[in-house]
Amino acid sequence: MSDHAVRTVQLRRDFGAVRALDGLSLDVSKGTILTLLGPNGAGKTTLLRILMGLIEPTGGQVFVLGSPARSQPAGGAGRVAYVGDRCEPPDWATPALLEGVQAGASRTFDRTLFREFCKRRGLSLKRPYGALSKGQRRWVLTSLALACRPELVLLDEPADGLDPAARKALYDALRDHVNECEATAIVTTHVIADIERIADDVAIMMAGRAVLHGPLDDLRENIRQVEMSGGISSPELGDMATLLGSTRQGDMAIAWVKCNGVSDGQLVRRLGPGATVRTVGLETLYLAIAEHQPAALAESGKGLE
Amino acid sequence: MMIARWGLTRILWRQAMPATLVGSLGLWAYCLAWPDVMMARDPWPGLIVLLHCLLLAVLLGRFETPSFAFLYSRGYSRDALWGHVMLASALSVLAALVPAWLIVWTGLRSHLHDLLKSPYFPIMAPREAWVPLIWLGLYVLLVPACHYAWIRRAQPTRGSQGGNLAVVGVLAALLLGFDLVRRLDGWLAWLCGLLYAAVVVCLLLGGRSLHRSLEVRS
Repeated sequence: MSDHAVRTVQLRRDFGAVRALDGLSLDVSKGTILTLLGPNGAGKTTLLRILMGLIEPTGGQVFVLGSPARSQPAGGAGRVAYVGDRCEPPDWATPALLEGVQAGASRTFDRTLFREFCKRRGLSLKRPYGALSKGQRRWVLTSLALACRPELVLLDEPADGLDPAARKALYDALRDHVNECEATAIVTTHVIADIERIADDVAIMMAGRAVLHGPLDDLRENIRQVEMSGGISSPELGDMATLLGSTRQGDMAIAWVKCNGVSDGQLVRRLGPGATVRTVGLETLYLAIAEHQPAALAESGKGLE
Repeated sequence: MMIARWGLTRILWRQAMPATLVGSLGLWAYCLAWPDVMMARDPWPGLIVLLHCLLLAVLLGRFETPSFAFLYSRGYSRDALWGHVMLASALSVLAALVPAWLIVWTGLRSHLHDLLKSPYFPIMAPREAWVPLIWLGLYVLLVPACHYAWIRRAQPTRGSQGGNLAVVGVLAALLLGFDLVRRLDGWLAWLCGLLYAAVVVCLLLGGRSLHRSLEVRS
């Protein structure tokens, strides 16, 4: 039995001349919540759609719950649940009808749980989907997904349009589901605070690749911002740290590095006494990678584990 | 064996509603208003049936819309979805055909035109009673054919038009043969009937096969 709920190997997907996924290799451990972070067009939604079986990869391999994704029925016969962007029922459909549609597809669908979710936000089961607010729609779709009690949950910006209380309730419900059912979740979001609230692992995607992937705690502990005069390059860092991105401000070079188990002091000694090292948050790290990712990293096609 | 799911069927039935209205209103109006004796070769019902079938294929095959992405990401197998698309199509056809058939078979049409002083009725009514069966035969052929052609068109990896041309060719031959079969007797009629059934089964199985690898992009 594989320990990975999802495994992709050199996954590629082209839409005409546009390459949405470019050799993406990613392992998602069972029982974890992985958040995908990346700019628009990075390939996050494409990845989720391939995992759900809605579209096929152009190349590479993808395994979902131990099986090649295409060998499963769409949605893995209820083992995989998906809430996606541009994936919504007709406006006239009521939550009661959607409940029936979902119950027909998934044997593990829990009608009581779904109704409890709806009741929690004061949603009527008879109100047409089109008459709901954006946040209420998201809530209905996510409730449908979680009430299936799936082994793998794929959520594409699930909190988009939700108020803070609903957002917290949604992520609490997701965490409860993952813990109770030993399920796995992959969540895309642009909200850093959401990631810090729910994520076990984080993957940052750029141009169809995972340029950084690891446990959230590991990233928090090991990512540093280094400032020094002159320049900072990978050879200077040696085995001590991996260069994630760099920029210049006047004579000062600013770099973001992932330390390989060394202390700040060891890093300073390596770079010289003029270097200053400080801890940075996830948002700073993301912006650094998005704006200053070295060309070499983009060319290599390899992510930083 | 596919188990019919009420919720999924209801959504697909609703998606197909415009096609059902076109087919129903067209055939009912034809049955009620056509002043002459209905013949198998009359072009209008054929056109209505064709339009109904084309609309069914388009409305039940809008794979680029969010509502189909929703349906196709619920966890139903592709074969179950295909089966329900066929079921919704069949219900739509029955909704159009059964009332039309009743209008003819119950004598409503004959009575109406008798009241309108038509010289043909009621005496010619028995001669046209079987005509709706011809329409049923057309539906049985055209529903799978239109779905097959539409799904093939939606397949991103199948750019060749050879398959669609083959469908059109076979259909044209069968539609010509359809008229011929009525005049044949004995083993030749059976042979044509078998060919007709074989083509329908092939279109259904071919459509199901294409549908399994169909991409749903919204």
